[in-house]
Amino acid sequence: MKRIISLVLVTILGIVLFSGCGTNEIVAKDSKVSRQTKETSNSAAKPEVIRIGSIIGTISTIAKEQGFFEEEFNKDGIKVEYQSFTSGPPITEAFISNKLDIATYGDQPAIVAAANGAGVKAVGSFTGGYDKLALVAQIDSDIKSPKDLKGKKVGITVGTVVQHMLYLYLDSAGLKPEDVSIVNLQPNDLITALAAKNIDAAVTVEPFTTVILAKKAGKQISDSTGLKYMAGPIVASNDFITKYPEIINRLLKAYDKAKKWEEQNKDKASEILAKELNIPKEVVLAGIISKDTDNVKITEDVSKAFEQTYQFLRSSNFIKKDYDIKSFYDVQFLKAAGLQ
Amino acid sequence: MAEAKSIYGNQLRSKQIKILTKLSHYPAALIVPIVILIFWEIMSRNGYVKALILPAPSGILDAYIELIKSGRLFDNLLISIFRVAQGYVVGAVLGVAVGILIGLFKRVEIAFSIVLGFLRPIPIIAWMPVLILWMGIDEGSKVAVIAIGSFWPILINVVSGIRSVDDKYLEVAYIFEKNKIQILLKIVLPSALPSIFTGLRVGIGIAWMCVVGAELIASASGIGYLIMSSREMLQPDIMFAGVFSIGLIGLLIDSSLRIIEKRLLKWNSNANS
Repeated sequence: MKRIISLVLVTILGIVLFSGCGTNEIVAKDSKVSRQTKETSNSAAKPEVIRIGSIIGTISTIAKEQGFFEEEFNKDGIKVEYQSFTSGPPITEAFISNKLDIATYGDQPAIVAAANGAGVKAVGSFTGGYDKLALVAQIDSDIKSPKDLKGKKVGITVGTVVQHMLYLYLDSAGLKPEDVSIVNLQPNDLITALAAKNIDAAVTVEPFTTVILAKKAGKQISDSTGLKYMAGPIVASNDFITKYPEIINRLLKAYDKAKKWEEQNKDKASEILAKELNIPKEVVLAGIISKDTDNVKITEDVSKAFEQTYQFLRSSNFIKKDYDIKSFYDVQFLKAAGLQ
Repeated sequence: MAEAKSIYGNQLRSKQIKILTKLSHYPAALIVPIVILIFWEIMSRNGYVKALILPAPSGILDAYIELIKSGRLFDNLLISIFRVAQGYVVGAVLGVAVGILIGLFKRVEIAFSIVLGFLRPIPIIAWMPVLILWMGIDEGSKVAVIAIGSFWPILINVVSGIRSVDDKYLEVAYIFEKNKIQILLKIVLPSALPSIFTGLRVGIGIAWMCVVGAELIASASGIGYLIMSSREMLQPDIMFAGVFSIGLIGLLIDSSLRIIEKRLLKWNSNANS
């Protein structure tokens, strides 16, 4: 009996110690332990470093290359760190494990994150429009519209904006998810699978649509006109927002500067993204740069899009509890920065 | 007569004692998991463990119930089990066949040594991009991954089993002038059977691990897909329910194999441990 008790006690001790080791993964209730900064009482507190996340091939890369963030923050001795991703869900995971302060990604994963208590909020919009989502098919396919998807193999990246888009395409053609064979692939694998003709079609979002077209891995069938305004929020962690609201204002200003610069210097901007995506810059110019928005406002289109996405997520039971979508975004920082 | 009766009586009593001893292990064995679960639940309820990172046991249980009710769990498990069965049969047949050849004939072993030595260290995960390229994203590549994964441990154990046939048996066979086929079927294979079974048990465990890996990349069904898609949809409770199911099924498979092994190898005292 003694042996059993001591074994149990040792096990408990081991678990407690072990859970202390991976402190990155288990976070205390009020985030009392902040790994961002040592100063917490000063109201004009500044972080030592700002960690910025983004999807490849977007305004964030341009802002980084042109040094807009460094320009804004280095004078205060604040460093900037970048992480790039190919899809949204890993960005949410980075927020949850407190490795990111602000990021730009699709609205679906961001709303799922906020609704599930990941502690994030949209403070601006980094892109939007009806021309950012696309249905693509094999290069020599005879698919002409979503109707022709029946019985076909369609690739999507589950958990990202393209998932909702597929459902909308199917709906518009009177089809149901069971009428197609859905394959879950990461964006880069979608490109390969389409090129290798392992899938008949795919739903993609920029910059991947342009990469597919540039590499002749497939052809575009349609975009999201009339179906869905693609909203791409600038998302920050509630922690960071609470601690450094003026930094959020300044970050938005930096993003906006990058947008204005991109508008004025389309050629150079195309070069930057062409290098990152490894495709010709003319394709980037036509497919991405000239279609980009030129501001970071949360317009009515954007907030309506958030609403539409939330309705989809709630009705498909991907979000299990009711959530007030209006609490997902906050325009006060844009207003304070004079951008809205 | 009375002696025979008392010996039988002794045997029966020792068997009863054995069973009772084994049963008495259960309460002690269960204490640790139960304590862990209670501790975990308390930590989760008090917010020391973030639900998005590690859901509470109660949350995972809820997810389980929902998955079972909607049929999602069983549907996906069955699909994965079916894939494992297919790949495992291929891997096992090849493993036993090649293993017997290598075990019996030194020349075969030498001929294949470099190729096998080169291929064996390649981890299954590294095979996946290659197989997907060759066989597409359908069942073919998944079954192939499982076959490759289960092949190696079976091969190694079969070879080892055949090599370790006791020389004494072979000498006896030689004295009795048995021909090669009789030696193979009546001495070598039965002698190697415990090792072969070990290989088969390890092989099915690896096959089960492979199916999850195979389904993580390009899939629309199976337990690996359930885990991957629930991760992408930020549903860690479903994800963990899926992960635990993998463990449970793995345990079931292994226990079943052990029972089969015991039945078939009754004569081998080692197999009863």
